[in-house]
Amino acid sequence: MESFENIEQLWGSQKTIEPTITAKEVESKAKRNALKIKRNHQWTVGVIATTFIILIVYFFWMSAHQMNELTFGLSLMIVMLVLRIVLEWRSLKQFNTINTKLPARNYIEEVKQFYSKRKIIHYVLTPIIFATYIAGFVILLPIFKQNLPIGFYLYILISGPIIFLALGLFIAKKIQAEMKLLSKMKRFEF
Amino acid sequence: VEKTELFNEIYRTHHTKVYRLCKGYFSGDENRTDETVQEIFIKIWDQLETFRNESKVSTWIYRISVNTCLMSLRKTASKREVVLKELPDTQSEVNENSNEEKLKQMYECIGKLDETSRLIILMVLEGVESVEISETIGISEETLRVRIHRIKKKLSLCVKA
Repeated sequence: MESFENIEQLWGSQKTIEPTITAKEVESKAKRNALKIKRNHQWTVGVIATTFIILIVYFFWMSAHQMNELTFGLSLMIVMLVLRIVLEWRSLKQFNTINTKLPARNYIEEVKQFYSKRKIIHYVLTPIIFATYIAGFVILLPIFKQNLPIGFYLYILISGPIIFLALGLFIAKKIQAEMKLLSKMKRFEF
Repeated sequence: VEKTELFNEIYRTHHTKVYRLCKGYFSGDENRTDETVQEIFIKIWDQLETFRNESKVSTWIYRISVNTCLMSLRKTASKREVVLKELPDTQSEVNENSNEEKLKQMYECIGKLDETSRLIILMVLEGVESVEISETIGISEETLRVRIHRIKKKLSLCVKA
């Protein structure tokens, strides 16, 4: 294995690397990062709580017997949006609880389990949420037609499907990337 | 203050090792290396209070480093930086450049290995003991010995070619 000894020598001949940032700067970055995560967490909780409060107040205000297409369609869309945010937020929290201090083999096993479980979100819950969201939009269309100027109604009618298509493609691309990551991790040799 | 002092000590003694591990893993890509090394030391800072002396501090750091490198897959690969160099003026510069060429070839060969083999051989090159590598990767020392033998052979063949 003479050649490997040469490789070891070559490896050892590398210049000493000076850190691009100091330990103090890393410390500050870590603290800023922790603060950012905390703020994002507070924002998410705030947005979800506010949406629910608005919905509950709206329902009390309208009272149940006055339930019409507008309330129903709008509620479907908002609830689905909130549900999607909650699912992603929960997933992110679950991912962050995976112990980075585990041996690589165990760590990758846990990450693979995490992404395998996410298949339920991708292939079952996301299509249901997406379809229900579109259904909410379709329910609202006759109300838009009745209450909005024809130009604006046509704009919603045309731009809506385009936005849904773009959103669908974006979600599909993200799912594809995650599945690619999972299959790559399955090929890791230990 | 105690945490800061401990972190400073860890950063001073382990930065080069972690940097070289990442640089080797990313086939010499310095941008990705810098980014990942910072991410690793941020994780070390965040988790410093959870270190329980159950393993060596270096094993603990290597585990965080190896797992962070493996999970860099989640991010999209940044473009490789192409550095244009001037022609050498002196003989010493010629030698230096030839050494750099060899290093570049070595990084390319390491990059051709699969992810875990890459990390194993990088720790071998850094002089990390077998027991520590097996604790970091999570395989038995016996399996590791066989793996190292195979990787060395592969790498030697690639560098020779």
